[in-house]
Amino acid sequence: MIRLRQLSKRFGEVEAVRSLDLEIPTGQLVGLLGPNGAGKSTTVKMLTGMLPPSAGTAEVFGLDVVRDPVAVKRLVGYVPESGAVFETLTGWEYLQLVASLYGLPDGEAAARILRFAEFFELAEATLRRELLAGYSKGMRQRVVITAALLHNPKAIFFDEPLNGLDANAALGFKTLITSLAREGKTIVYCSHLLDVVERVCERIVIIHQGRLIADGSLAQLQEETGEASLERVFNRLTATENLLERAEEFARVLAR
Amino acid sequence: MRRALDRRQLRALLRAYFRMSLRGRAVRAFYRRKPSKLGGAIAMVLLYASMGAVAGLGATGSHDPFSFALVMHSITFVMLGMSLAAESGDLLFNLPEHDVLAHMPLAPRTMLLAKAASLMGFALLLGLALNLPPMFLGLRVTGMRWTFPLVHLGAVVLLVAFTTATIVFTYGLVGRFVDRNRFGSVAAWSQAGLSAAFLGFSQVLAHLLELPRFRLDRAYALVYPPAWFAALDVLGAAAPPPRAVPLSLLAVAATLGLGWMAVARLAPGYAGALAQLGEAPTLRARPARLSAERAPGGLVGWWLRDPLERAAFRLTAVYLRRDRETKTRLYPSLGFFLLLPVAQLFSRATYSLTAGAFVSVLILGMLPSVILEALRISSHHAATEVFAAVPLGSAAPLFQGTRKAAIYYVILPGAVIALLWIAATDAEKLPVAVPSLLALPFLSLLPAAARDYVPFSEPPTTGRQSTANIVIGMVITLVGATMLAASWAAERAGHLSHLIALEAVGMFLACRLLGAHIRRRPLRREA
Repeated sequence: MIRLRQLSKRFGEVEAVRSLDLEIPTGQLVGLLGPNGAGKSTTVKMLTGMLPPSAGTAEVFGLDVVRDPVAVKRLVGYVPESGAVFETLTGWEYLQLVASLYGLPDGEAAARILRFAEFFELAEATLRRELLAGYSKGMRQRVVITAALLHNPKAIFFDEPLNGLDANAALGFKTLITSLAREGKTIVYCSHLLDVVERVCERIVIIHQGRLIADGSLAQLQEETGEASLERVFNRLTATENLLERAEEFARVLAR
Repeated sequence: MRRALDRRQLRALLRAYFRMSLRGRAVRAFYRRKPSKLGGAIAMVLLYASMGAVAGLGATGSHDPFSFALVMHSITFVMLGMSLAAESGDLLFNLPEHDVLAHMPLAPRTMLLAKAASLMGFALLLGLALNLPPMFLGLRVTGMRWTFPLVHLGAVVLLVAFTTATIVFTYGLVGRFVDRNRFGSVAAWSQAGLSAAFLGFSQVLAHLLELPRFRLDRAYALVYPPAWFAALDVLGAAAPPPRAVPLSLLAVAATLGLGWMAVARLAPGYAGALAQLGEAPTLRARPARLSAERAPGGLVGWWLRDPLERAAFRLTAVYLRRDRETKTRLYPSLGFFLLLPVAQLFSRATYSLTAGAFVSVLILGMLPSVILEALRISSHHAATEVFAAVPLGSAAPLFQGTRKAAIYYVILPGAVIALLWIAATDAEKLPVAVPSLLALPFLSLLPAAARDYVPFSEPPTTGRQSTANIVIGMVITLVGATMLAASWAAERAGHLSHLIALEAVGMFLACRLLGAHIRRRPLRREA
């Protein structure tokens, strides 16, 4: 169970997250949506113990993220939007480092790395020999996802996980996360790819300007807004007015 | 907050840092060839070892073992302190690394200890290289026992630990007591301050205390750390002077105490500072104060009439002002160079004021290379791929814009101050400075002479900035001192005006030729 009570984050004068109340039961796959700068990544960073909240509380499986961030981090996995890795390590060395930091024994870590490598079609020779700096964006993203799942976390936070993945890898990944949710993992999935969220997430939370503005299943949101697709729902709740007309007008100006 | 030290995590981090430091971080550099894995480290070790050999040979003239040990520990303390001050920002507050590690279950203490150990490893490499020749040269000093190499090795290791702890402790304090909005600039100034403090230790005390006759039973020995470590040397390898035992104990206690304070007590503050630096959303641009951030007009506008040069000039101006990493790299280097002439003021020699003024002119010659080399490096190096995407035939406008920003913001004000200083102390000597100042435009072109210069395009590599500072310092000192000596000689012989005219023509031609060479070279990406 992940529980947020009046969770807020202020950066100087900017209130990035405003009094967020939310409960995510164990085993639920939640899509966390919002326009750019809505506060999604900030929320996730607070839930993973990376950022201290300015006010309110957040608990992950009963642990307070402020009082015990290290214990929280042991229970969660996180795929950051940046996809940052130590580029001068090989993929294998990097994953071994991550496994050690999560306390996995070397033998067990190696076996898990190989299983993930097989699933993500990463050649063992490439993992062992080539520095991450030489990997393509998609290969690097596979390593980052592996690093987040290696220690078998109870909750996983994905921030734009499909960045750089090709269509086959993305399909495999989507199947993987629905399977993980079925096995009882709590998953928070932040993305701008609404069709993916529409297909895989059983619950959708939309935040805008730091506030929670919608929470429910796709069917519930469609019913509340009277829109046919998640894209339309999202647009209705968060976009500036006349977006489509403005885009057409802008294109005409550009073409002149 | 859990504070326990996780040894397995610590070992894993140290292993990773060691591998990364051997490989360097330059593998993704976009505009340069891949460096050899160990080439930089070997060059750095050789440089420090050769400096140690020179210093050791000079110090063998000391009249007793303590003086020899004191000279070597003073040099080590200052060199390491300034190198660590220049490098520690990249190691301790590396934002890209924070992105990788912040969500891992790492206690702040484990993280800080791993960083401090990594920093100490770098310092140990330099310290041992610097002291390797003196370890054996010291045996030539009358009264030194055969145990000196071993004892000196131990004392150097302890001094390295002490110096590292000083740096980490200072940052821990800054992280603990400074709020996030001011942390970047306070950290940069702290680094510059540390650099200044280390230089001050050597220069001021060397003059004030007349180093060869330094006495351990005086109160000043208590505030001069190299004396504590030199006391350790003589305690194990010579007949110890009075108070060598308490000062040796002070060396051990200060190292342990400072290390414990830095890692155990200030670790939460360090973790907080790192988390604060990761809070990108609050980083707002301050209102433009520099003229370069607005559209430059007047004479500067004409000077920057090339739009590409103007863009590079603005980019540099903004980074000089806003980017914590650029500031933490540049300020200590500038502090090192700018304080050298000031240190002359503490000399007891009667000519010290004039000498200080002329040293400042000499230092000006070093500044273009120091600044431009520092501005070549950034952890935002991937962003410079934009220069490969735009239709840019040569890197010359990027270099010229950056060079002009360095001239406008640092070198020009420095030249004015130096000239005013000379005018105030000995106005008649003002023309003697002219030949050195005439060389500045040419010296500022040198960083792009051999290869493309793209600002902020190369990733930081440990040891690079401090090594560059030393090499530039040695080369320019040699060239600049020769030039000053020639000016002085020409003045005495009544030919200074001829020398100035000749040099002006020579420098003008050299600048034109080198400028054309830089302009004609096509921009090359990494192969």
